[in-house]
This record gives sequence, structure tokens and C-alpha cells, in this order.
Amino acid sequence: MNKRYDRHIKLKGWGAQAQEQLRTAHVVVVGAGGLGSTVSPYLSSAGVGKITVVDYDRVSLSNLQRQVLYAEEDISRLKAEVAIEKLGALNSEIELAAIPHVFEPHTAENIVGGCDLVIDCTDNFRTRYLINDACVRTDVPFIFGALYTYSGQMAVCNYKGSATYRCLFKEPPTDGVIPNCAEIGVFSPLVALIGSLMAAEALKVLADLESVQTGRLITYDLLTHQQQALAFKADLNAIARIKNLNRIEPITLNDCDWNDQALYLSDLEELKDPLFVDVREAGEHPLLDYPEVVALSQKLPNDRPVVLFCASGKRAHHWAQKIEHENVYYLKEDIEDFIHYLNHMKYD
Amino acid sequence: MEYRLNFYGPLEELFGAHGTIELQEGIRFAELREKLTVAFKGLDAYPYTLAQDGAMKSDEEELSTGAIEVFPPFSGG
Repeated sequence: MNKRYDRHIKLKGWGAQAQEQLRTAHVVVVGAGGLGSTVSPYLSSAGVGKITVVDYDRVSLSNLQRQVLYAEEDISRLKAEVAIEKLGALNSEIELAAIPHVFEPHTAENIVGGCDLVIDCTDNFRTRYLINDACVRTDVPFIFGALYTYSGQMAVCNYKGSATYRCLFKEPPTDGVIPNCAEIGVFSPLVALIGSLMAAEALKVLADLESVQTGRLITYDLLTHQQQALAFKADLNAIARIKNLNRIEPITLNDCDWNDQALYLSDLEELKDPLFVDVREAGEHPLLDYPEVVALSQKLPNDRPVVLFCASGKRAHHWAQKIEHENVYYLKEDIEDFIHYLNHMKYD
Repeated sequence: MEYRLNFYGPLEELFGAHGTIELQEGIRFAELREKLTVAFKGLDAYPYTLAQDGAMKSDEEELSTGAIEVFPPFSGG
């Protein structure tokens, strides 16, 4: 063990004791996209004893610009499964587990309960608040990271009684108000930067270093290199409210009446013979030529579920509220991921 | 007095990186939120947290004279 981890053990303030604490630790990484791709190899190579990766999604071409854990040959494969293969190749001495499913309210506490740290690498508020609530209820610290074009945020939460994500942003925003990377893009080195900051805090938490930056929102702008570390306090009422719930609640994004209509690719298998409706402008690329895909201008049958889609899910969300149909849904996914679904899953 | 505002993320795209607002000294952050809603149309659609002097501020706290930071949550990962 000493040779592999020699450069950490030699560090002043680290040593064999800290390394041993890593060896006996279990970390759950939720989200194996950009941030997850950056954080998890550092955990593996540093010798974190057990890493569980949770992600329902599959690798797509548009991921490769920043999700450096994956290669072209991994396209269409489940990210969680590819991730643990790659992490195992980095370090065969650690235990790895993949959970290739959506992180959901009914399983959240079981997944995070008993682990030493959760890393929130998600790209949506529904999962971010769910991670917060599950960790608060099971007394597990977590580190969140989030990105917006060239700027990022991260913080260590729920660590030794420190503040949580809900202490910073009490309730989730209305769905669609804060755009994600699929809609507005993201600068790939930012993913690496914020992911590295998260990995650093993760190792410090596991090694129980006094320098853990808990209760501070760390922000970084890669255009100007302006960095801030803003203190935030625990909101004891917000924490108590989550702890006192009888069971963990699904996260609703204010316009919850329509959230029941939102689907991820993993949900499609539950629909019987869905018709996919393209709500993009006529002629908008990429063009899709599949028997189950029709244009919005066509008459929609009432005896089949219809799933609206667009480039990012935003316009589909809009149309889902306007169309009169008994069984209408919209796809909250990037169109390239949807095309991969059509090419590699449905038509295989 | 005139306070400097710093906006981030989607709020920077809406209102620019910097703005100003005229406020009485010593008001609380709850009152600041109300005034921001009036002065910056569309801001109330966003969740945001307010910071001053290197720390996030609760609604009950009073403003000092420093610049006010307006942070929305980010989504991407």
C-alpha cells in the first residue's frame, strides 16, 4: 500500500493514518457525467476503499467533450457500468459498485445510508434536493458541485452539523428557469476545475482534516479567474423539517402539475407503444426518420401515449401543457441521447 | 446610499455583471429582496441567495455598506 500511495503519505498533515481512513471509507457518487468523471478517478486512485456510482444514463457523443472517463467505444453503454470498469483499471485494490438506475425517493436513503460521504455530481435540481434530503435524514455529509457555462459552485454540506444545500437555496426553482449544460453549453475545463475542488474536499473529509471548507460556497469564474468563498450558516428549522418527515418526499419543481408528464429515457420502457412527436421547427437538424416519430402538425391518435421531444426538453415541456391529449408526456433529455436511444436500444 | 450589485450565472445574463440600487442604510435583507423585485423585472422568477462582506445573509440581517452579491443556484454537472 505504501508504494502506491507514497506521495500522499509523505504529505505533511496526511500520513499513514489518513491513508488508512481512505481505505476503510465508502463513497457514493451520484451522477457519472462531467463532474462524476472528474471526481471519481481521484477517489479511486487515492485509495478510497469502496466507491458506488449511481447513474441511469448512457454515454453519448456529446458527453465526450468533457466527460473524460469515457471513450468513443463506450457510446450507448451505461455510464455507471463503464465508470466502475475505468475506476477498477486505475486501482484493482478497491471495491466498486454500479447502480445504473435513477436516484429516486424510495431508494435514496438505502443507497446513501451508512456510507461515509456522498458526492453530488448531478445535473438537475430534482436529484440535488433529493440527495440533500437523503443525506440529512441519514446523517451523511455530502459535497455538491454545479456548473453554469464558464462558472461553477461547490460546497461541503451536512458535515459535523454544518449547513446543507437547503440552507443556501431553500426550495428548488421552477422547472426550466435555470438552464442546464444541454441547453446552454459548458466549458470543459470548468468541469475539471470544479470536479477537482470537489475531489480535494472529499479526500479531506475522509481523512478528517481540519481544513475541510464546510459551510462555505466556493465559486469560480473561468473567464475572469474570479474566485469567492462565501460563508453560509445552517438553517436549523430547514434541517429539522427534513429530518422530521415520516418518509422522504419526491422533489417537485413548483410547476409540479406538469412534472408527472416529464420522462427520462429510462422511463420509456414503461410506456406501451409510445408515439414520439417532434415539436421542433420544421427542418431543424438533426432530422429524424423513424417510424415512431411524427411531426407536431400530424393528428395524434388518442389510443397511444404520445411523448413530445425537442432539442433539450424545454419546448416539449411547453407543448405538453398546450396539447389536448389524454396520455401526453415530454422527454427531458438531450436530442442526441434520444437518437442514441432510438438507434441502439429500441431498434436493436 | 447607492449600493453596488454583482449578479452571477443566468442573472448576469439578464441584468449584466453589475448594477446599482438606491437604498436607505440599515435596512434588512428581506426589504432588499422586495426592492430588488421592483427594480429588476424578472428577478422574482429566480431563486437566489444574497451575500455581503464574504457571507450569505438571512432576511433578518441588516445591510452594511459593502457590495451585494446575488447568487442563483446552478444546475449543470
